[in-house]
Parts: sequence; C-alpha cells; structure tokens
Amino acid sequence: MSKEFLEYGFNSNRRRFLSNLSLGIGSVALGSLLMPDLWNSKNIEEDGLPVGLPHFAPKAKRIIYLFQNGAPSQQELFDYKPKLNQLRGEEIPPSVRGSQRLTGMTANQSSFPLVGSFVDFQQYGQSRAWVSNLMPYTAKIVDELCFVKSMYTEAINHDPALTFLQTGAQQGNRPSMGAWLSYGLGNLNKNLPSFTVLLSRGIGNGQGVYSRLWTNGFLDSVHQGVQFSKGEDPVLYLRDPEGMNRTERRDMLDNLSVLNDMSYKEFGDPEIVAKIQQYEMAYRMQTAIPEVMDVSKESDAMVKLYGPDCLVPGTYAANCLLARKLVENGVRFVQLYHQGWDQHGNLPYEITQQARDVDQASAGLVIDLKQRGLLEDTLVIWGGEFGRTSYTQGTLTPDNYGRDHHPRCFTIWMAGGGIKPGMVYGETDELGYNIIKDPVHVHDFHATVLHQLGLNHEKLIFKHQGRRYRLTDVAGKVVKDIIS
Amino acid sequence: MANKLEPIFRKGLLALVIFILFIVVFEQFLTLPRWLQALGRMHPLVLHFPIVLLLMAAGLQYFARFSRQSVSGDMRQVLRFLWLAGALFAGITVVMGIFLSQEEGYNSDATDWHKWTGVAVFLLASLLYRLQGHAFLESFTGAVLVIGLAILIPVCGHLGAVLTHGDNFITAPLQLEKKRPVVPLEEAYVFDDLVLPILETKCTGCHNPNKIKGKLNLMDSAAILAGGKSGLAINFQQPEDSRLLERIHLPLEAKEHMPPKGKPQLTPDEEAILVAWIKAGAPFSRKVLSLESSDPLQQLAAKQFQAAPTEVSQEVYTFPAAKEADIERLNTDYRTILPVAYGSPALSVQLFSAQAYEARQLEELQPVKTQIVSLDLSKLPVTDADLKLITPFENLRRLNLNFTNITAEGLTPLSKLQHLDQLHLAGVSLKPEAVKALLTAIPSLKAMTLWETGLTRQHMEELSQINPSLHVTGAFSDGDTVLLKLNPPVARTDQWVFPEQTEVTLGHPVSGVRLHYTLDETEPDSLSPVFSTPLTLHTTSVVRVKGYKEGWLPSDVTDFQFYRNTYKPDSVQLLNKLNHVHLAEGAHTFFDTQLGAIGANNPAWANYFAGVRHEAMQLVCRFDDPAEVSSVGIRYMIEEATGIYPPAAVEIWGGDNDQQLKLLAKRTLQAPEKGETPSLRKLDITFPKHPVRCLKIVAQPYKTEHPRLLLIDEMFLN
Repeated sequence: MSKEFLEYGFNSNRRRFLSNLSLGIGSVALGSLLMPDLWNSKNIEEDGLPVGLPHFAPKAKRIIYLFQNGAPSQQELFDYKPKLNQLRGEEIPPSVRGSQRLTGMTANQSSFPLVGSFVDFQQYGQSRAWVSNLMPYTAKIVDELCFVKSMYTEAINHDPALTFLQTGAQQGNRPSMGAWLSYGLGNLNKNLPSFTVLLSRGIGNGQGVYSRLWTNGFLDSVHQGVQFSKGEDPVLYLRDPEGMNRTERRDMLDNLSVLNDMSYKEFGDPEIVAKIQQYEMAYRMQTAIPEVMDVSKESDAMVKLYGPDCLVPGTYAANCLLARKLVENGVRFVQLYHQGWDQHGNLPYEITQQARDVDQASAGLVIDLKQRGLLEDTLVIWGGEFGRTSYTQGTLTPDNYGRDHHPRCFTIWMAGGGIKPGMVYGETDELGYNIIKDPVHVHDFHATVLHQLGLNHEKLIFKHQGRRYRLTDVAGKVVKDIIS
Repeated sequence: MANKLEPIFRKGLLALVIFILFIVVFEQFLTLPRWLQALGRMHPLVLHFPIVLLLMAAGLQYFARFSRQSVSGDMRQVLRFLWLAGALFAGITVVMGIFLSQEEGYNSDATDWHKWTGVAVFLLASLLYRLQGHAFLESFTGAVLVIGLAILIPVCGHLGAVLTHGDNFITAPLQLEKKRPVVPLEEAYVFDDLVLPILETKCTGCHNPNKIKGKLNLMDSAAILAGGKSGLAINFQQPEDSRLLERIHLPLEAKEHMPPKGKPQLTPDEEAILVAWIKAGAPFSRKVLSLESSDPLQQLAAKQFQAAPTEVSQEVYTFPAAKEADIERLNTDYRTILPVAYGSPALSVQLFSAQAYEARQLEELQPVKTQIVSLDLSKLPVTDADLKLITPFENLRRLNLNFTNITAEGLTPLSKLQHLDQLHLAGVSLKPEAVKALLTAIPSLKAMTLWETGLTRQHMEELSQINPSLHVTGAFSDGDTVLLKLNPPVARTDQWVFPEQTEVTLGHPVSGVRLHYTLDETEPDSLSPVFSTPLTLHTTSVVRVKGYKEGWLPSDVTDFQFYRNTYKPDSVQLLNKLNHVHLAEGAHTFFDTQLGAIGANNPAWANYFAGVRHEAMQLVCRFDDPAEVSSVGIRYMIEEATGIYPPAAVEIWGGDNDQQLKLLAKRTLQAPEKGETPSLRKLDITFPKHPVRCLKIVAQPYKTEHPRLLLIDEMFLN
C-alpha cells in the first residue's frame, strides 16, 4: 500500500509538472522584484561597501600628512623626560631595555648610556602640553593639536618602517594610504589628481623616499600619488610640446577622440573611454595646475605666517603653502616628506636645523587652515616612522650625542579633521623608552584616520590574487578617545 | 477542511518554499520598498500562529503514533490541516522576518542563527506536511523529524526573543547590575549620572525600600535626605562629618564599615566621587559642567565620561533622495556633486576653477535644490546677484564663500537659509551691521569664519552676544609683533665659471626686497649700492649681498662666488687612478664648470668632486696654442670628521711638452684642526707668467695616521 502512495507522490503528470514549474518561476520572479540590483551588480564590491563614497558622514574631507622622514627624536621635541637628564651617562637598566632587538648600528655597542635632551622644554596653552624650545611656533598652537605620545611600530629600519606607515605592510607593493583614500572616496576635483606628493630635504642625515611609498599597489593606477616637482614643470609631461599652442592641442584632442570613439564603437573596450577621459583631464590640468601653483598673489602676511622660505620652491615651507592651496582645490590627500631627521650622531646641531625647517611652516599651515575654516574638515598629521632611543649611539661627549632607531614609542601630532584639539594622548615611562598608557599601533592609527574620513577600515576592501586586502590588514582599532 | 481549497494552499506552500529559498540565497541584493518594511514589522505578531499550530501538529502526530490505536480518517484530516496551516504561517513569518532583518541594526550573529533556524522550521514543516499519510512517518526517522521540529521551534523562538529583548532578558532580574544609558558629559548631572550609579551598584542591594537595612534607603534623593536608624546620612552643616562618609572611611575590619566586608567594595575613583560630592554640599540638581573646572568632582567626572565610547552620530535627513540621473548629469568637470555618505540623500556640492565659473552653474542646480546641504564656492568670482540663486537651497547647512567677490549687501538673501549652521566668509569685505542682521535672521548658525573681513575682535565679541552658541573664527592672533628675518637672496647667471666675463642677476623670493651688494669683499650694508641692472664680472670675484625690506629684519649676508678660468685645456689626462668611489667625470671633472657642494645627501657632493687617497693626483693639461698661465686655482673640500683633508703639497710643472717640464711652483698646506667645521676652500698658486703647451698639476693627499681623502671639484687656470 505504502509503495503505491509513494509512487503516486512521485508520479507527476505533465500538467502538474508544468503548473508547479510556473508556480516556482513565478515565485522567483516575485522575489527578484525585490532585488533591483541582482542583475547589475557593478557597484557592489565583494564583502566591502561600494567604493567612491564615505560609508558614513565624515568629519574630515582631506588629509595633509607632514611626514618627517628619518624619524625625529621625540626626546628633543615633544616627549619631555627630565629624568633622562638626571641620569645622564648612566647605563640604561636592562629591565627597561628587555630583550629588544637592536639595529646593526648599535648592536655591537658595549655601553648604552642614557642621555637627556640638550634643549629645555616648557608647557604651553590651555592644554599645558610640553614642547621643546626647538619648536617655538608649534608651541603657540598646542591648543589646536592632539599629541599622541604612544605610537609604536613593528619595523626597526627606515625603509620597512616608512613603508609600513604608508601602506600598512612592511614589504612594499601594497597601496599607499593616499591611494586607499582615492579608491575609497574618489576624486573631488576632476581637474587635479586626488593624491599628490611633495618632497623637501633638510640639512640633517637623510633617508631615501621612493615612489613605492605613494604607489597604487594593486589598485587602479589612477589612484597613484602624483609627485609635484619644484622646477618649471611641477607635473612632468603635462606641458605642450614646443611650438604647439592650446587651440592646436584642442584640435588634436578633438580629432583623436573622434578616432578613439570609432574604435570604441568597433571593439567596445572600456579602456578606450578611460583613455579619452585621461587625455581630457590632462588638458584641463594644463590650466588647473598653474592656477594652483601660483604663489605670486600670496600676501606679505601669508609669507610671514609660513616664513619667507615658502616662496622658495622645493622647501618644506613652500610645500606647506602649496598643500593648503591643493586642499582648497579639492585634492584629497597631500603627502609631504621632509628628509633629514635621522640623527644617529651630531644630533644637537642637526635637529636644530631640521626643527627650524619645519616648525614655523607646520604651525603656519594649521593657523592658515583654521582661519579659512578649513581645519575642521582637514586632518593634518605630523610625525615620522618611529622614535629614537633614550641612550646615545656612539660616544657621549659633553655637547654631542646621537640616538638610534626606536620602534617602541614615538610622538606624532594631529590637528583638525574631528580630532580632539588641545589633547595629549598616551604616555611613556620616565625614561621615554616603553609605553605605559594607551598604546597606538600603526594599524590603529590607520583605522582612526580612515574613520575620520568616513570609512570603516574593515569595509574598505580590495580583492587581489584571491585574498581580501585592507589598509589595516587584519588588525586595527579606531582610537575613539582622541575623536571629538 | 474543504477539499477544494487544499490543492490551492498546497500550491501556495510550494510557491513559498521556492520564494524563500530564492530570497535567502540572494539576500544581499534585497532592496525593500517602504510598504514591505511595514509588513516586515508584523513578524512579531504573526510568529505566534506557526508556533502554536506546528507544536499542536507535532503533538498530535506523536499521539497518533504512540496511542497504538488506528488513526481515524477525521484525525488524519485534522493533522493534514494543522501541518498545512502551520507550514504556511511559518513561511509567511519567515518572509516577514527576512524583510524585518533588512532594517538597521539586524546584522548580528544572533540574527543569522534566528534566520536559519526559522527557515529550517519552515522547510521541515513543509516536508512533514508532504509526508502526511505516508508510511515513512511511522518509521523511527519520521519520529525523529517530528521531535526535531518540536525542539527547533522553541530554540528559534528564543533566538528571536534575544533579538528583541536582549540576550539577558530572562536572566536580567537575577542580576543586580544595571546598564545605564550613556549620557554625554554636557548633559550629565552630578547626582543622577555620577553618584547614583555608584549607590546603585554598591549600596542599594541592601538599602532599598524592600530590603531596608538600618532603615536607610539610598534609592533616591528624598530617601537619602531622610536618613536612617542612626540619623541623617548627610550632615549639611559639616559635610566632612557626614555619617555616610564615616562608614565608608572606617577600616574594612570594623563592623560598621560600608559596604560590609565580603561585599564588593568601592573603587578609589568611586570613593573619591562620593567624598567630593558630599564635601561639595551634596548637590542633587547640578550639571557636571556647571562646576568649576578645578573642582575635583569635575575632573573625576571627565575621567568617568571619557571612558564612555563615542559613537558616530549622523544627522538624519528626512527629505527624499534626488534622482540619480540628475546627479550624474549635473556632475561636470568643474562641478562635483556627491552624496555626503553612502545611502544618504544629502548632497555636497563644490565648484572649481575661477576661470571656468559662471552663475549658470548655480542655476542648473535647481533639480537637486532640496538635497544640497553643503556648498563650497570659495575663491570663485561669485557676485551678490549670484547669491540669490542659492536661496532655494532650503536644506543648506554649510556654505563656503571664502574669498569670493560678494559684499556686505549681498548677505541679505542668505537669511532665507534657515538651516544654515556654518558660514565661511573669510577674505570677504564685510560690515558688522550686515553680519549682525544675518545672525539675527538665522538663529541656527553655529559657526562663522570671519578672518580678513574687516571685522575687529570687538565686533566678533558683539556677535557672540547675539548668539551665545555661535563659534566665530577670526585671525589666529592679533598681528604678530615679532619681526622675521628675510631669507637669503639668490643669484642667477649662465656661468658661475667663465672664460672672460659673466652676467649676474640678483633676486629675492620675497617681492619688494632691496638688495645691497659689494664686490670688494667688504660686508654690504644699507649704504652699499642697490642692485638694479645685471652686473658684469671680468675677474674671479665674490658678490656679497644683503636684502632689506620694511617690516622685516635684513637677511644674512650671502656670498656668491664667481670664478674666471681663462685657459680651458684642450685635453686633460690623469696619470694615476682616481679613488674608486670618487670618480665623477674623471679628468674632465676639474674643468666642467660644475661646482660641488658639502653634504653627502647633495648630488653636487657625489657627482662633482673627484678624489684620490693612496696615490698623488697627477693631472696633465695640454693646450693646442701656448697658454700664458700665471696662476692655478684649486677648489677642494675639508671635512675633518670624515677624513677629507686638503692636499698636503701641490706642485705645478709646465713646459712645451710632457718631456720638458719645469717646476713652476710648489706649495704645502696645513692639516685641518680636529673638529674643524667642514668647508670649501680655494688654493691659489701664482708664478711668473709662462707660456706653456703642457701643464702638470701634482697634488699629494695627506697621510697623517693613515691615508686621507683629497677631493677636488674644479681648477682655474689664469
């Protein structure tokens, strides 16, 4: 009996099959009405959120990153450690140093005498932040700044540390911060690149910067940083060839786009459209770039704010002024590098010169942005790739010493962009060697910066070679305490 | 049940199965219209039907199997009905649940578990309905399916309850600790948000109206004031002697110490807060921020509230989104329109390029006028007339008019923008009355940028009186009185090293700087000649320049060195090898007119100096026509610290060819002092004029302690 029942159940005739089939397809059709994007999923990035827009309303729209390349010594600038002066010449206690890995430059040193700052510190502003006398202009704006004294990193040498801070990985070839932002937020001004790079160099011992620090990595090449140079051609290969005027260029582009259009109609390759757009952008950049780069109309007061070097192309001050002009014109990320902070020896002389290069212009930039109402949605970051040791490298003489690389703690400051002003975050021990409060890892720093730009660092994802990549890799926590 | 209806419902069930499988698989693409959201919210209402129906069906099925009586036909009918109705309601509930889960806040693991168990309940119920009347149900596996469903239903129900009531809803009454809503510091009260939470965690377990130990109730302010068995808890005359504090401060072993030994004790911060609160006179209705900033209570409070996480707060816009086609069409090369965030209807608009600006660009924005919340027109030649085009942007929050061409009169139409909260007017020439009028007209304004508008600090303070919550940004400081030093002047020339003459133009990066110079090596001052037309130099000379400008300190004196090299050899040859690191351009380095510089980072250091260490440098210069040489200049580097030394000795030999050379001159040099600052020097060796076709220059490196490096960038033959 049961067998017959079963057979009855499974023996459907054609009519039943068809009516059930139509029912099934009908249900699917009903469901698909609720999914308008099912068949055109171009905007949905796998796992992440769609790119080109902030994930939530951002506090900051732009970033100016004043990178102090070579790792400025925190002990001489912002992290005041009077104890080091008291203990000058004494060996660093082994309990403090622990089993730390040393660089090849001091690993063979037999003695590690502590040394304090050769320059005095004072407290400033409402926040009573300590600033050394090497930074008199920065001292005046401490109430706009948030000092993070508890940054730490994983790398012990310049190149991996710099690459880590810029790309979230030590080994290179990952997209740089600016490229991620360009990818995540898109371009604001279609006539300028969204990620620009400006270089300058001080008198101090320098370390190289290479274009892989502003690479697009595996992202589309439009997200690569564009380096502006100081000469007559700030952007290379932009100028018309000699003898060609603007009308001729226009005619040429028009004719070229007719041809490109024909070949697009024939082959349908979207790269052809991209190429046409890039030619057009370059054409517009030919007028946009000189408009931005022109400093001749800056007032005397402006020149005094940044210091007169802001009119000398290629200096840090000039790059700071240019950075303000670029963000005013919708550039998302302006990356400065100032080289020469690697004071393994001859520290007192070199750091004085380096500080003089950057102090006034950095402070001037913050003031300038503030006065224009731009500081609230522009995030300014000042800092290097790691810190420097509390003990001297080489021999300690009465008026000279040096400091080696120290990844365990370093100080950076941030201003604007929804970061709490007038704040000092994190703390190091009294020898300025280990962090004792609120450590901030490089991944945390990246997560926080992306958060200020309206991006969830866990959702800004790019899938490449079968793996999902983020700026923060698989780590990073937003440092909520410093967000206003 | 009417037999005619059953096939219809059966087909409905099949349709539901397929529909649910489909939307579950493609759930990430689901986009719901609003009316379906309303349907989704009925999920908590409908879900009770399937629970009851299916549990009943399962129970009856179980009863039918184990009662060992033959199941009557009526019973079968009832079972079929129950299973069908239960499965149908389960399906409807699942669909509604999926719709509901599309709303904000349903993305936890708990949601997923609830969803999958719900879908499982539905599928299982559908299967059991299909199997009705089939012998399979009588088997052991069939029974397991029925029992499995009966277990799955409460599990699924509980997971759903966790979503609506929280995961500790059932156990919450068993726990003493209560989570309080997070209050921002600005709105926090001393008693309600600081003191009471401590009392509630550590005291009210025993001192509440129900369990009133020592007749003291600490649940609210009135009860606290009433005190307990041993008198008032707080002594307002001498707060320090309050009984409450006394009990807290007693040693832990004391019988009267509170909280009693064995119960959770006050943390140091909690104790400090209670002490500070009572010492401050036990205020019940003061806000934390109304305390002096030096008050220990406020500092403790700040600490307490800083620990609270700050969540991203977003303004919610209620207006509908603009048409995507409109946004796309209005986005041009010089006008960028972007939603402020993903999924937000609000738009942010920025215009670029003063050259490309036209008022039409604003007019064209009409189709999205409701959605624009932010507009940036800074540095564009926007006129007063153009501002009238902005007034329809009713939801505008943020307007940037920095350095536009508008005037004080142009501000009037802006008063229509009643939601405006930020207005940037830096660099616009304004009148205080116009700004005041605008501020009165728009009470929502929270921030204004008024730097370089002609308004004084006094004016800005008056504005703050009109609207106390307004934040005004003016000049950062009132005209710095510190004088800055001018940076060094610059010199431009085609030839720093020249055969006969060179032309030099002096300049300065800052415009309007007067450049005073000397050519006689004396220090220039404000009485020295002022540079106006290019200088022509005929001999090796140093131009010393100093810049002056009103309002600046004069620059440092800057020296520009120009070298004459009359006789450039027709060929040059080195007799010894150069140091392998310092090859530069070989023998040509010395007459390539490229001057080196100090500093290992400088390319002019690496590329323009050639050097020797172990052997003498022997350079032979040949001339096609006899050269009347009477002096040889050698430019070299000293960097004592790194072992770069001057030549120990230099010999000049001359003659008609290399076979007939005669010593023309010889010089020895001092070794540098220890710690000497690095410098570039020029050694000049003169001798009686002598026509030569061949000149040999021999420079010996120093050998003190060990061989020292000798680096030379240029030589000059005159």
